[in-house]
Amino acid sequence: MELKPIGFLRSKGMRKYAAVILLGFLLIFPAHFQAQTSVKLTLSFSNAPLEDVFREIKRQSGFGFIYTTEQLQRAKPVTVQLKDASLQQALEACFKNQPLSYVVEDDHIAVREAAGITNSIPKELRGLVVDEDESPLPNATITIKGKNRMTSTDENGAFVLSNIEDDDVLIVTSVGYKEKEIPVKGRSFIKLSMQIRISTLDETVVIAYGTTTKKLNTGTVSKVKSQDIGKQPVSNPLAALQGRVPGLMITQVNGLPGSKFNVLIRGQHSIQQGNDPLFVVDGVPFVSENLTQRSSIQTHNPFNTINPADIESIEVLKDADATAIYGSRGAGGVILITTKKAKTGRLNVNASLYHGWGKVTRKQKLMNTKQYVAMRKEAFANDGVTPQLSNAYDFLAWDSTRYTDWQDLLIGGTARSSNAQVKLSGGTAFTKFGFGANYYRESTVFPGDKWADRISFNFTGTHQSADNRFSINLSAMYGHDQSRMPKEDLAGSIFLPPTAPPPFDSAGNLNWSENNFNFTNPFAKLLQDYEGLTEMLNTSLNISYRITKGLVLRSSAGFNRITLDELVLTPIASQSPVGTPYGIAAKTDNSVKNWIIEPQLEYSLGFSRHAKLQLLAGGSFQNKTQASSILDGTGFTDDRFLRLYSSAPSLKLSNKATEYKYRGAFGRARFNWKDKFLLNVSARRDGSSRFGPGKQWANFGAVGAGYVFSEEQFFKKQSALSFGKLRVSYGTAGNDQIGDYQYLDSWSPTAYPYLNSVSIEPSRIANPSYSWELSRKLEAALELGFLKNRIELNINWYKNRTVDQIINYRLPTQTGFFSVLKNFPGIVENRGWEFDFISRNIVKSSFTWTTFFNASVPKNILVAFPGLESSTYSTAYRIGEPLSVHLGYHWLGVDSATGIYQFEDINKDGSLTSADYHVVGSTMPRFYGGFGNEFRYKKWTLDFLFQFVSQKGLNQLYSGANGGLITNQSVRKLDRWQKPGDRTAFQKFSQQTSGPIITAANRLTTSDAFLTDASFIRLKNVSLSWSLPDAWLRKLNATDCRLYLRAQNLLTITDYQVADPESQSIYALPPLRMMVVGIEFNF
Amino acid sequence: MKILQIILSALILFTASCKKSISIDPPINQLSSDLVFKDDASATAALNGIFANMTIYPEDIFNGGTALYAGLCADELWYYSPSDKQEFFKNDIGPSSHITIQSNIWTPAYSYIYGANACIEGINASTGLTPAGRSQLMGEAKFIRALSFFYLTNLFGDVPLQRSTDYEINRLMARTPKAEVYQQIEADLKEAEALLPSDYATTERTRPIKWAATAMLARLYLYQERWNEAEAKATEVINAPHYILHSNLNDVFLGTSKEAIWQLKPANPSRNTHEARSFIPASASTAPTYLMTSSLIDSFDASDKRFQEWTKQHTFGGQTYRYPYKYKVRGGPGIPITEYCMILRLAEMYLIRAEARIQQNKLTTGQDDLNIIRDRADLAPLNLSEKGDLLMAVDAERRKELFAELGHRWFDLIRTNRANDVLSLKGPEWAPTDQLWPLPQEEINMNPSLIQNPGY
Repeated sequence: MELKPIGFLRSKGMRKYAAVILLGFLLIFPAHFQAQTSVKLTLSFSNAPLEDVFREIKRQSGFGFIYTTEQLQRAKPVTVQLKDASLQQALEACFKNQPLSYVVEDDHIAVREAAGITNSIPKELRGLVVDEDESPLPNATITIKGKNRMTSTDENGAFVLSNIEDDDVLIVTSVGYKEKEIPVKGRSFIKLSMQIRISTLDETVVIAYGTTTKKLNTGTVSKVKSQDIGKQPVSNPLAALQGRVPGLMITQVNGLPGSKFNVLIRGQHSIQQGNDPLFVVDGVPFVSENLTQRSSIQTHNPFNTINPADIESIEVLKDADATAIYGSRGAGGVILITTKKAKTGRLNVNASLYHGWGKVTRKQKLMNTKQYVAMRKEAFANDGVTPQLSNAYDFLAWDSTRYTDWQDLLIGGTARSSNAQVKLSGGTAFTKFGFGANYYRESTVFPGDKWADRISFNFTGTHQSADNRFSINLSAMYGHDQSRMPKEDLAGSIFLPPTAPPPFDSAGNLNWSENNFNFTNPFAKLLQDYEGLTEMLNTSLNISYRITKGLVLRSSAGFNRITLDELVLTPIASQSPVGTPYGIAAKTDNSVKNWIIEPQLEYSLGFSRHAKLQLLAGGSFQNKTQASSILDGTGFTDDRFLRLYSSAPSLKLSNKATEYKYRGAFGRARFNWKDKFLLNVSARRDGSSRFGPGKQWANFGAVGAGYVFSEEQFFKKQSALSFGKLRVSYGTAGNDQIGDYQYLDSWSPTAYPYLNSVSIEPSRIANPSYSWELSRKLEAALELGFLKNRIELNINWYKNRTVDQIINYRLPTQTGFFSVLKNFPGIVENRGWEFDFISRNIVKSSFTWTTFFNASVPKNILVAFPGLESSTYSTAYRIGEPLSVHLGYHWLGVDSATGIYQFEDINKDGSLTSADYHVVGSTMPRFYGGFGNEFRYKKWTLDFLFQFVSQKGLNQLYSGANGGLITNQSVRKLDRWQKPGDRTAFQKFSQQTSGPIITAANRLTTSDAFLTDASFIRLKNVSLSWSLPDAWLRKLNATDCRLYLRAQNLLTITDYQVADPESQSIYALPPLRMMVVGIEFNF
Repeated sequence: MKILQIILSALILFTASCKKSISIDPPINQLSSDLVFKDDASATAALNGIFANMTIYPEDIFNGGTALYAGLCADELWYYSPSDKQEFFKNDIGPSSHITIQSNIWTPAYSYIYGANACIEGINASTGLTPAGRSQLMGEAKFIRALSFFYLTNLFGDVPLQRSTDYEINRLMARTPKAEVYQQIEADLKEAEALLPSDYATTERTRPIKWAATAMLARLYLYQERWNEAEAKATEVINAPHYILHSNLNDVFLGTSKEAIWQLKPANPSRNTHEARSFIPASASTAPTYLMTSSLIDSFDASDKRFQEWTKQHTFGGQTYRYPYKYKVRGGPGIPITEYCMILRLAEMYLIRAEARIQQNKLTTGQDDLNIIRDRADLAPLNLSEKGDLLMAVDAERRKELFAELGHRWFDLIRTNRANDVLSLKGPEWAPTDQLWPLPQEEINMNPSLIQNPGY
């Protein structure tokens, strides 16, 4: 209570603050100084310590002194001769020439700093910063606490600071070392020894609306640091997360530049609606879905506009404690991307450059001409059909001895990637800035000049007021991602017969036929461009003001805008001249605008030295608008006019626009007792425009508790276990990824208008009654640190249940519609175990070796789905099985008599129908994770990361056409039935397009033969770098220069046949194996 | 603690203010029902939407679908390439054809019915329509509903009779007896006849007017063997001032046709009629698609102008084939739309009246009507005196006049009970139960109240 008024006084600097405290004492003890003025003092001292004089004055007057030892150390010796002097005279004499002054209180004299005089003469301070091995530490930053000044150490670890005052305090920071605070205490030379930061326990972890440390966090948050993101030569930051985060499954859709990554945190929770996590970049929700309306190849993922090197950290929020505060958007987990902020220090220039080469990870072994023609002839023989020109042109009309390796021709090339970037950063403790520019370009493995590139800029600026009460931070990111891709993935064309005509005729023109039999020339597809341009602007502003001690008002505001302009051209030249082809130009403009403002008030108070409470309240205002216009121009008779849309003989324009509004109020209370007991309660009330009137608002909340048992005395006595925390959390989060306006009955324009006048059709049945999908998340975790936290182990167990599933409920079309959205009492459960382990095997300044490992064992179960048996989903899902369950026939192999696939008639009704389906398995991973090592030896570093997934996947051996048709096949299909008695993996070749053989081939794709083991271990990333010796650096005038060699997807160990086990498609380009060499400078 | 109070009250204020801020405007490129029926213009757009959809999707019920699939099932058409379409030709409809029937016939018909019901409900609830607008739009909606049910019930027999938009009522509705469906069709057509204007608003005949409803009533009564009423309704149309039989057969299917009672103008600007696209081979060297059966070819006299003008020969692989050529423009981007999809035309009215009169033993006047149609085809007039012969003559004339048009032949064989005799000649797959198509299996799966037709 006594100190209460102090907080409201504006104090500037340390000394004034001390004065204020004394003033406080004055208020409490009313002075009766006047009563004592009659005291007479006699003093006689020569060069005596001030303390002795004080003692004498007290003896004679009864007035004691309040002072600090530090003050006395600075005091000068006193020489005084006085007789019968008043107290005031005596004090004046003593304090003359002292860097101190005094105040007389009721029966005390308080010693204070002399007003208007500096307490010491400013001087120069020299220092040396070394590591534990006494080796000098260059590039360490030294800041004077509370002052706008700083410096950094040179290559010898030395620094000089001028105008240092005796009571200044230095803060020394260096990457990889623990921060150190040291008071100057009047010294003129200081030697500092920095300790390597071993543990991540005290590292900052970004969480919803704030930060915490791993030690004090009550929620499940995995952090991936910039170093780990930066050393992967990838264009999409999401790619850098593969294998690094337990509970996070990321799969690449295909190997084309800019392709999409599917991201799933802890399994599929929604049967039909969005399962994406919420992505937040610097506090602004980011668009995660592909905007494209034209590209079948799924390039132009918005994340490609972000330069991975601009990212400081990516935090993956998983449990209710971490995500409930995101309310209706948190069910799928949250991924927070934080960009690099400016760092204090002299101007730092970082430049880097790399160039790389890529090849597809995996090629298929396809038949050569001899095998192919033999297969075709066998097919005809099997069918008892005589090959004629009309059905066997591929070996009768076309040259049956020609061999074209279409796979090599189409996807056998080398993709190249280049990356160049420059970053500047610097500033004082109060004002800092950072700027970065990046250029990235990647080509494809396809023939021809197809490429994607990115130009991105990044700016960040921070200012902090001198009294540390006000701060403002602005971050802005701009990305320009452009590509020239073929409209289709050419990997789908590698199954052309090896006898097919050459792509170009002798004159170099596209070939369309041989001997009057046409073929689909894949090189024509290279003339069909998909041109895409994504532009992204993300800005984020954070303002914070400390109103009074413990009470901080903050506001974050952000804006992002992503546009994607697409143009797909189908020139006449790219089409077979048979018939009368015309040119097509298809254009779309898509844009997403998103703004968010989140004011927050945070209040921290300490009840005692041990108990701390932090309260947070805030609100969210978010608006998102999305619009697109689609233009289709057809009928062009001249390719030169393709871009002049108005010249299209037939032009069609349509537009789409949606708006999303989101409001929320949230609160959080964090309680910490002795860093031992932690409690976190969060709540959110959320409103979303995606739901109908009366259903827009909902409440979410979570409780998380942690018990740091290693703080108990018992554990402090031993040294093996250095950290131990047990935590649990429970709470709710929602899912509103259902698209906008789904509750409205609405009418939309028809594909074409009738009689050129407005024409609209019912586009949705009115359905205001559905609401959120709700996830209930339960989590328990054990976090352990051993041997001074050199070994850390986290074990998590979770069980999430998502209820009120929103299902697109199939309607019989006699209702006029195909489906209606309904909340459905279906329940999906995701539960599992996650392990995260890191061991710093060797920690020396010259050599470090770190091993890490993470694994996730997920389980996904459809718990309830009332009426499943009679619904249209009866062949898609089963109670008690994962959502990715495959139901199908039981394959009995190839009938050795007929040579056709056989399936079991399980219900013995004489026919094969969906009633004969059984549970074949699921494509849900059984477990997955990653492990790796990091070695650092003097100037060398070597990192590698393995990713592993244990899963079943679609058996691509059986994918595609049945053997015998005019399509090339895997050589594996030579293991086919030829004559009665054969026992083979594949049925007989046939050139028929319908009939029992084709029916059997189709059935096989819904049978247990179509699911096979697709587990793999992949050497995801290798990075080797070498820093130039110091002597060279001095010549270059650089502080650091590194050469590096990095590789992505270098090696894959799998039993999976034919296709890549990650993308699992024979028609999509597999992920690429990339190798890059690069150089990085720091000036 | 004061601070906490401040925070709490701020929060309460904040949430209260949020309730309002969450409301959003309806999407700019979509309209909600209450806005659609606010005035004549937007309500007209709703009906335009149904007409547009009738012409946009290839092989949908009124856009070639019935002409092609019912034509295959009857003895009119066959399909060149081996494919699922053989199942219709062989009257052996299997699972993949169920999907065709569902996506091309059943689902579109019920979506037009939903649209019509939504319009009927919207117009009833609306206060902003003009009396003339309300009358015309309601008439059009009822006409569309009647037309859709007429085809559904003739193809499938008993069908669920949807009279509202409520999906909770509609989704489990069982099949309504055909007689009841016919009652509803008659009631709707009579209302439409009363509500619709009796003159075309433009020179084209792209919106149904009163005479379209009358013509459909004539056809309905013919199918119901209500000869007297059929004759009366056909006469009303024939006597209406708008219609003539073009002597030049090439004028009949044009957008400017004066024979048309109601035509749909293709909405897709780079298409003409879908029938033209289906029948006419893409180029001289491409394989033919839908072809006339030899029995249809043989039914024509060589001098029949319809054979000369409305059919065409195509040579492929050294063989000659003949295909329907009533529509002559395949269409494409930049090619003007000159031919409209004919739904109702005058010639049918003469044939209806001829049949109705002969059935009522008015043999002479009936034969006169028949001879009007024959005359236009440059055929000599008939001079028959036996009722049975005359009825067979009507059947033969209908076959030649209305071939490959909206399934007339298929429906005629069934309603005159001749399907078994005629179609069993096609092959051993024919069974009497083939006269009705199967209800799409997936619809039955989703609505257990639907019972499949016998034989499937």
